[in-house]
Amino acid sequence: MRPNAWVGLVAIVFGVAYGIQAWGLPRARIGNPMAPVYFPLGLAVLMVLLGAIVFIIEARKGLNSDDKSKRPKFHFQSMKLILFVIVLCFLYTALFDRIGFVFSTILFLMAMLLGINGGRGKLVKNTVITLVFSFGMWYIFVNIFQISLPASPLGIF
Amino acid sequence: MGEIFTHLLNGFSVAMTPYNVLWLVLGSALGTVLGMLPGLGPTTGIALLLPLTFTMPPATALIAMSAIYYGAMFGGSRSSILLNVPGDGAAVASCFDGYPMAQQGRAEAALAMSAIASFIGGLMATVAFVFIALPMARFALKFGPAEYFVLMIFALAATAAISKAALLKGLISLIFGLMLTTVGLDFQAGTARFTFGIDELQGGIDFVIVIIGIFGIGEVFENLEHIAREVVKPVQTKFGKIWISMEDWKRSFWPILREAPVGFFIGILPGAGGTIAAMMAYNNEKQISKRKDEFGKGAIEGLAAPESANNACSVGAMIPMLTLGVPGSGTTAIMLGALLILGLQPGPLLFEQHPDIAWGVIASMFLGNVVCAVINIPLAGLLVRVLSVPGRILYPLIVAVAFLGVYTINFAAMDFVLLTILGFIGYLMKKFKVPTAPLILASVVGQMMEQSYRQSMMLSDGSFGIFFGSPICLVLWVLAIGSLVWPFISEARAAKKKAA
Amino acid sequence: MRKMALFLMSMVLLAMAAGVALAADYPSKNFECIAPAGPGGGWDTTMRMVAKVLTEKGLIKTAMPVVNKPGGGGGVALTYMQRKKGDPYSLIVYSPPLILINLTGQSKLGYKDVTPISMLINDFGAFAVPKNSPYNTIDELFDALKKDPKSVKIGGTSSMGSMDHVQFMVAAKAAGVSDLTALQYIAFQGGEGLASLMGAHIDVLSTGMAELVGPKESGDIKVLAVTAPKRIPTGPLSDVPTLKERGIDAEYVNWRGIFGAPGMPEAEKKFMADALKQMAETPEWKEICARNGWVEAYMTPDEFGAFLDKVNEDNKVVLEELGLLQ
Repeated sequence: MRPNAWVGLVAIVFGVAYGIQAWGLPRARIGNPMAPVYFPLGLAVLMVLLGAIVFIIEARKGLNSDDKSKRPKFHFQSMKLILFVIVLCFLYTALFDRIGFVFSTILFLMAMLLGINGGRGKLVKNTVITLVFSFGMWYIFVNIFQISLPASPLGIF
Repeated sequence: MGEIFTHLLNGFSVAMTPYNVLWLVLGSALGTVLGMLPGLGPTTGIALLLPLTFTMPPATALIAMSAIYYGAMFGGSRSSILLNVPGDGAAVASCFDGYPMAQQGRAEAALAMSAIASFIGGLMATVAFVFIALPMARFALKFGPAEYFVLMIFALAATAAISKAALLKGLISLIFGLMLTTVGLDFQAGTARFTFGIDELQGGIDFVIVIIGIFGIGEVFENLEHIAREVVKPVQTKFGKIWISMEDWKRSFWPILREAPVGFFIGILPGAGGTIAAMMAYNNEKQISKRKDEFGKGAIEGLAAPESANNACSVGAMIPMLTLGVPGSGTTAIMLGALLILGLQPGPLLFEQHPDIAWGVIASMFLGNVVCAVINIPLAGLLVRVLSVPGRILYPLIVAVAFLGVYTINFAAMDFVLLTILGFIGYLMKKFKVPTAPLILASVVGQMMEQSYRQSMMLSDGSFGIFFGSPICLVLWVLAIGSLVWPFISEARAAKKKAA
Repeated sequence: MRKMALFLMSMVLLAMAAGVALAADYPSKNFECIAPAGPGGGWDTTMRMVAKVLTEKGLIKTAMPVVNKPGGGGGVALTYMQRKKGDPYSLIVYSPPLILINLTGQSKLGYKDVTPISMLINDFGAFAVPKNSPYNTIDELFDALKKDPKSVKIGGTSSMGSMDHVQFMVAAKAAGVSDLTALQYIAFQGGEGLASLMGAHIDVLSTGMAELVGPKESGDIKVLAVTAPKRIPTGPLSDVPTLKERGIDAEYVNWRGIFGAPGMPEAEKKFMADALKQMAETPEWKEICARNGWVEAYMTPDEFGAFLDKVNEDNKVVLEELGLLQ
């Protein structure tokens, strides 16, 4: 399918889903009960409309008549790496408050560096970068900027 | 007129005392550094300085705080140019041409131009401050909810219009941005919307998270793709002097002069701000340029215009706070709070009762812009070396810095999830060539747009006439419609010329 | 296995011993002082000042770092405090939104889910009109509202169901305005409310009194009334009548106090309340209050708890009438 047709399709689906949610929003308890709903509902309608226009324009050109070499490509190894980083981000979120900034960042950064650099990465270099960053940022934020970051249950850092 | 110069001279004698100069330099440096880090900005800097200001004389406190404010504007675009990761809304427009310039090996010129344009923009705004602060501030009060609503329409129309080739996709991106701003507590009704029972979402999605996610993390994902496929971008190893050529200067001279007043005026309006100023400046220059096609591909004037405007804006934003006692932004609200604690009451009387303080601060802005330019040019020589770091190491570090910066906005790790999701959306948008600028601007203005619409409707008891009821509204409508139609007119004219 | 059990048992004993020791030499470790909003606002300033004076005067010997937990009008921090049940080292500052967010259903938790330690200061609201407004006294304004509830556009600097809204409605109700739901309240954010008032886009602004001092002195606005029970003794607002002086039997206090985690042990609570009382009597604290325009209003845990119960009931009545009670 043409890439723009995909954009149109996603817009329609998202618009409909958002619109359903918008319709279910709590109504205002004073004044016009629909007041908090109009704007989101209007956005949903516009989104579906725009998506439909884009899709129809593309469909009239022929959904599959485009130059296939120009379509966006999602290579397996790229997506694997991106997915890997996304999973790390979620793990980081879960650990951040629990084991503190320094330790969660060491794990997060180390995993990212190793994952991205594959086998050929220099372990010593990556470790040094990770440790300098994690402790350095802790020092800068907590001691110089006086912005508190979550500490580990150990009591230090 | 003579009186103004006497005041200004007195102001300089206040600003030039060693103690005040020391704080001016410290404030500028702190602002620059905080501005460079994504997520951190002037608000954090001023809040940080707050406990210290209690021991300072009011003039010094005000000088240091305003130095942080415009220092952050100078610093904010460093990461936009070098990494395509804007640190703040005001620095988004600096990505559009600044990053392509860095990619073409012209990072030195881009960094220099950003400092120079900021410097001139700030200086022009300070001159304007001296002469027309009070009347301008009074004029800005004429902007009520209806005027704000139409202003937002104008800003969005202009931004959608610059992505002319992909107008429809640009509009989809815009609507998506507006949808993001409907998350959180609805002020008019006091009800929560789209929070799915999560307390952290009641405050809404901070637009800085949207910006760092869509631009910063999206950029990282795109580069991960290259890394995974072993398409290694060559890193820059040789660095030139941080300066610009005569040609660059000629191209940027007029855009800088034209857009500084735009930024200045947007700054005076309470509630508008640097993002709108920078975006409008960029749109304006692209619309009137003879080299439209070069915009977005490394046109130096496309960088100079927003830089000039956002710094002028930060000077303008001080005006309603100082002359009327009305804080126009979160940052100036904190400054106002600090001044009250110091026993200083900003307002029209400030200039009568404490002329030394008021004019001392104005004079310090002249000096501060010089200081910032002086700090930033050698600093840029250091920062540009970031480009010699290979992506395999650089991008993980960017992710870690972005997360840390975002944490300081709400102190909630929950925001990391939002950041990651937005990053992936930003990556997909790039893949499918959906313009991201409309989304960013919409996420900045969306909440104010809806709220001002509903405020207007309550003021007018439900009549739409209020949106056409004042001359300001009508002018703004003309501008909004003009900015949508203009690209087509100018294209038609160009085609005619070619045919002739 | 036996070894393991033995080890666990000794750990439990050790922990219990530590617990006993804890009560005796409280405080023995660092506190966590929470400001339920971002840096720079009223909550943040109060918490930082309290921590500063307590440590500088040696009333608390351990460190008291301030942590910001903004979000949900204080609700996010309230949820966070539930994780600290019984912990005497978590302190938090709150003011009327603690009660309001619960009553309007914005948060499931309320003032019962933290331990009141001491009320420290009071601040008050005020109602202002533009300089060329036809209304010169608060009674004229309420008379107009009684005749036509839609004739006056009321602005406030916080959302529907929050402090600025409720304080105006409390006054309107006491003044005899019959249908509170017919009044038109328009919510603004931050300085936009004041700007809209000075530009005469709205007819009256309900907000905190400190915000109005500057424009009042320059003559850009008229302040019609303050919500304090007694006239403000000094400063530029000392010529503004209270609601009571104008025959409207209403007041609205923006109280601010320190709370502990839910289930904070009695002994530690008493220790903290005493420390705060001593702090409230230091010249340093008095100077901070004077500079910020805060009215000193120390209350012990019991007084504070009873005060909160009363405020909760009062607010409930008004919110019920507005249809905002959840």
